Amino acid sequence: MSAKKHHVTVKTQFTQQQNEYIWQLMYEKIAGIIQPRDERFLEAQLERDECMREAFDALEMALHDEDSLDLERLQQDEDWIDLLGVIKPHEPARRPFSLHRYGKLAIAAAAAGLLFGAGYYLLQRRAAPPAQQAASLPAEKQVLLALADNKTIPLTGQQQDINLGDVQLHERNGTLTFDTRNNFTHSGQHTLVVPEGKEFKLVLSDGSEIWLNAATRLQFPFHFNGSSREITLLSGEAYVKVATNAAQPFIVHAPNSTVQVLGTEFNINTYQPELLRLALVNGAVKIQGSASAMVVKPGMEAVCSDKALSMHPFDPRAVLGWRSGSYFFENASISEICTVLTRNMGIPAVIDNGSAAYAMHFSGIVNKHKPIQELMEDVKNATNIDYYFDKEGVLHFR
Amino acid sequence: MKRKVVQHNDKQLLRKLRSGDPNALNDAYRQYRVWLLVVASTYIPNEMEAKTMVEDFFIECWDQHLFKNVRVPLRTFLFKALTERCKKQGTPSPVTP
Repeated sequence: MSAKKHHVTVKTQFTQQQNEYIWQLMYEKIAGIIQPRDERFLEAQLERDECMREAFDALEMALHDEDSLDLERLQQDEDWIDLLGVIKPHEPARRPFSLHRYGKLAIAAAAAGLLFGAGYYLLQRRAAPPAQQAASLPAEKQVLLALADNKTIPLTGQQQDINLGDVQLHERNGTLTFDTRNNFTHSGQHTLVVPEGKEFKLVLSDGSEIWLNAATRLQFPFHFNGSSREITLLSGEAYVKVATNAAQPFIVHAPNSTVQVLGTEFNINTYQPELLRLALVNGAVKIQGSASAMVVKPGMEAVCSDKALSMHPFDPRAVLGWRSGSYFFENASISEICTVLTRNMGIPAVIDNGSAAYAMHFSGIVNKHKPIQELMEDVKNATNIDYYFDKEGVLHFR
Repeated sequence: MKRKVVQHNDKQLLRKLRSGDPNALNDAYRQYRVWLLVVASTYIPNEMEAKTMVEDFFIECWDQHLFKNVRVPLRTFLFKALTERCKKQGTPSPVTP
């Protein structure tokens, strides 16, 4: 308040960044945690700028009001929750032990789930697209069921029942189920196609449940004839919960490998076409690669390429997170995240030329029910890397 | 109003926070919670609510591994990220940026 005697009316043009920093220092000074060097800087700014000085005086007054905070009392621990009693320690990231590049792939796959909800959020935001957008962005893709006879049925996300004669299809809340009659004719393999940005669930005729992640194609029959139940993951990622039936083993075919299952739950990922990753939650599976075979135990993830088959413990947050809407990243590069945004959410995302984002890595847990903007703001505040959406809805890291 | 000098160096704190050290979280929390409460109070007049905001902010930063991404000075991040959350939740008082 002693500053009033200077009476030099100066209005300095601060950038928003500088402005915010001066406010930060004002609060630091009021709370008594300001560093001496910062305090000298703050004083100099307040000398220079009348408006800032007034703002500071007002802030100080407001906080020294009788009804206001008792800062002395608030130093005491008993007023605050015991943080260490509340938080859970971070588990160290578990990396595949020998194969470094698999580590990277695991991260990429973890990235696979990132920002789902954010994707929906953005799609909603784009509900009324500008006319030119149609030309630059592909029309929003639907989940499709391609029947063996080449007929295609769109699964619209609405409740619907489709009568195929001796097979009745039911779509409810993103889940496809079906009933078959005994003497039915829709034999052959049908393909469920989940495009970028979508998820879908399928219940097979034996009651086995399959959750399909974005950009996934799964082949299955309406009825399992013969001595085994066989489906084929053509591409993408799925979580499979197999209904127990010892008399009819369950087999998942995937590029370059085959998984034999006894009543069990597992996640199977083929986003990298040449690499299959199978994470077993419970039960037992045997994975047959092109060269060798391996029995996978619960808690372990088998990684199968055309050359090698290996196994390591997996981090459920990273591998299974996509199912519960929470996605875990450990040091993922922004370009990996852009790939995932595009594939798993149908949100094109790019890094602008020369952006510091090329060198940046992201760690964290992203909840799909939160808008992407919240994450982007945190990233911006933590790194100073800015972002924007262009008029086509493409997310840019600046 | 003078209180004890800051005991922990921000750079060291941040380095430990990045490595996931819970004690560093507790140190940062004890060191900066009153300051951040002052910040929050200008947006959220109710002291209890403002305090909860600060506590939740630390928990969220921890649970979501946000400190691992911080490449700016620790206090700059704390100030900006908390302000962001306050703006979303509270109503700004006349004296705020």
